[in-house]
Amino acid sequence: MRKRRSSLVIIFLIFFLLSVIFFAIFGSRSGKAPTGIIEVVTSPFQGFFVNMTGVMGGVSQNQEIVFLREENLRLRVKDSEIKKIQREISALRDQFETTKIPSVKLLPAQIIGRRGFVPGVSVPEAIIINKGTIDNVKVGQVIIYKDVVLGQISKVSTHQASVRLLFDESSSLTAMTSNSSANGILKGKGKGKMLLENVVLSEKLEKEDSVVTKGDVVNSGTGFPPDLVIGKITSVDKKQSALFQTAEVKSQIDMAKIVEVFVIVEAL
Amino acid sequence: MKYLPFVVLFFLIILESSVTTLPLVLLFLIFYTVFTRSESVFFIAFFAGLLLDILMLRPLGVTSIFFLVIIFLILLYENKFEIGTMYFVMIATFVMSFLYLIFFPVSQIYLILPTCVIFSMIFFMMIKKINTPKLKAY
Repeated sequence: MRKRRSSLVIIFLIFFLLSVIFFAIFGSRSGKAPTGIIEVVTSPFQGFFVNMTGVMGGVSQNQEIVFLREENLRLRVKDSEIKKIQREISALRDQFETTKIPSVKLLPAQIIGRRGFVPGVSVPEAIIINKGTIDNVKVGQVIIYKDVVLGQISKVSTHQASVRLLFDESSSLTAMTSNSSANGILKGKGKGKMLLENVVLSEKLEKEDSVVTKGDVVNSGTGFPPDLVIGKITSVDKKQSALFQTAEVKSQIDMAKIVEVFVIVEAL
Repeated sequence: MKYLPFVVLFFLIILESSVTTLPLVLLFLIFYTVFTRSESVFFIAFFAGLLLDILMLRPLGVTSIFFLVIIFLILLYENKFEIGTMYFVMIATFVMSFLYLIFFPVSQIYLILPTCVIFSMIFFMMIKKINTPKLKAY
């Protein structure tokens, strides 16, 4: 018995020390560990299961509802583009300001990780895509799907990247409404929810109004480009006694269903 | 047949890293520890932890450390508690899963924990039907 216990302790200590060594060398150096070959080998398996859950989740939906949702999303994006062009025309007419039409370079990526309690049904916590440092993907780059912002890259390795979705509790960006150009801070509240906060009381927030990014691209080219659709306002909380008003924002994209996204690798 | 547990473990690692927040690999390691009582489980836990860290973009080694400590505690007390009983497996699953979800946070922990316990009950009953010398005592 003593012999077994001591062998147990020795084996445990060997592997524990190995783990600590790995952690000490590679733990804090994201993207530097030699993990590329493992990511390449396992990526097809991950993609297969993610695709399966996307199909399983979609089977239960009425085809007409799916079509109407897609059409709704397409019209919202178009509406946002039209309003952007109207603002530019107005600015040119007034000759008080010039607006620079942003140009973006997109990199397609497949979702190979979309973890939720019930695969294909639960809103995922974060997603993992099959592009990494080898594809010039960097922390801070934005992920979109059909011109709708989904989130921002938070971690990168050689062949994979983790995306922090907009409704993650640590997510925060400047945003504005499409109709009234009311400015605010969009914060994630978890479980698929987002709140547009810090909107002054004098601004007009309406239900069904689209919320778009204000734009905060940094010198390195990462960050949120302006005028990308985030979602639509589903409810407004306005109290005269408060300093600011808030609005609940819902994304038009069903994160449990999509399998391909795009990385904005250059936003100018 | 000899390599079946490793194939199962590989697919559990892929499932946990890609589609579900359930701690499937932890459940596998608890069952493997309880039913084999072999020191080889340390080897499996070390590499399973590394693989999970790579696929979930966690700091390399952190999941291995967690798994090794859990397994060490279970094996250390195998004489003090009857670790091959359903009650021990259920309690160990609940406690270890809770700690795992604290260290590696996900949402809906109140749904994941009971699901893990139910899964452990079902798998224990299934495995107990297999007639192996180690299981005959229980």
